Amino acid sequence: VEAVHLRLGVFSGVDRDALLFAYELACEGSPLAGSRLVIETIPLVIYCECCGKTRNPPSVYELSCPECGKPGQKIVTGREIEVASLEVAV
Amino acid sequence: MSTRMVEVRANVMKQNDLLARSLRDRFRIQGTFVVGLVSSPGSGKTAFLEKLLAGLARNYRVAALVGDLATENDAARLRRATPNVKQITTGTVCHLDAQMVERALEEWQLDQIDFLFIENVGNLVCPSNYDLGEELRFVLLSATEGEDKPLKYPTIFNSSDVAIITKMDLAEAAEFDLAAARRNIESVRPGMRVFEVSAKTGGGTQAVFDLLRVQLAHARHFNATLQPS
Repeated sequence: VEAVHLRLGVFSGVDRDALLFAYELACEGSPLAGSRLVIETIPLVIYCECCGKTRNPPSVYELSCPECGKPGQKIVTGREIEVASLEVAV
Repeated sequence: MSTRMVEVRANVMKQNDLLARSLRDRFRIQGTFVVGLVSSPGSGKTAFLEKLLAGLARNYRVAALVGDLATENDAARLRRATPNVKQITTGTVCHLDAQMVERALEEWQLDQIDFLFIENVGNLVCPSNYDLGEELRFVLLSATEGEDKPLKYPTIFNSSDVAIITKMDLAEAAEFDLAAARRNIESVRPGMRVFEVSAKTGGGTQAVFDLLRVQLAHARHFNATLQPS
């Protein structure tokens, strides 16, 4: 395996830098040894019931609609911890 | 050497999520209402749980699983309220996962339990990613910790259903800003219900008993409609 592509939401609770730091060590002695970890950061997107649209909240500390200001309870993206694909040598 | 892209699209948490879902199904079928408790270390989870168990044990069959890295101290404390307490010692692991819960339940008959509480390891980070099959998750925040905890740990507050502010008897001494705490909780988890309690005086706990009583009745009514007669 040359590389692992990971989709990581900003609201997943996983710290990107800590994960990259630990990755090399965790891979030692496995088929992943020497592979790269490529992280695609997925933004936090909520659904605003009031506007009927998906919105990017101002921050992960304020789950509200930037347009109408109403709180948004539905998270559309941002919680992902997903292995999207692998790059394998052929 | 060339490389080939292999699409995987696998959720890293999938195994835990699947197991948690099967646990939730089991709990529903057996009629056990399960509540998870998460908080930072020292926020009063065990003291609050002791009060809950003692209060509910008068009318219901209650049980608790309690997670810690080491020691059986918490289980010993909770056994004052009910004998149905099991300690899960995680060793070096900073959270509970669905498999630990499944193993701990092996000797218990769920249909003999009305309320099961699962007290997680004191940690506001990792437990947010591990579904344990609970019906409700309580996040506890003590008045002595400060009102900005929800902003520092938004993911755990967002993964929870109910916020419990503990140690309210110390709020004044700690100059705890209750309005700000409520605002911060609302900001990271819009619409979340908030209760203020003191395990020491018992203040506010009645409202939590009432919530649980209503939730259990609703869950049983709802599950009865799901099962073929």
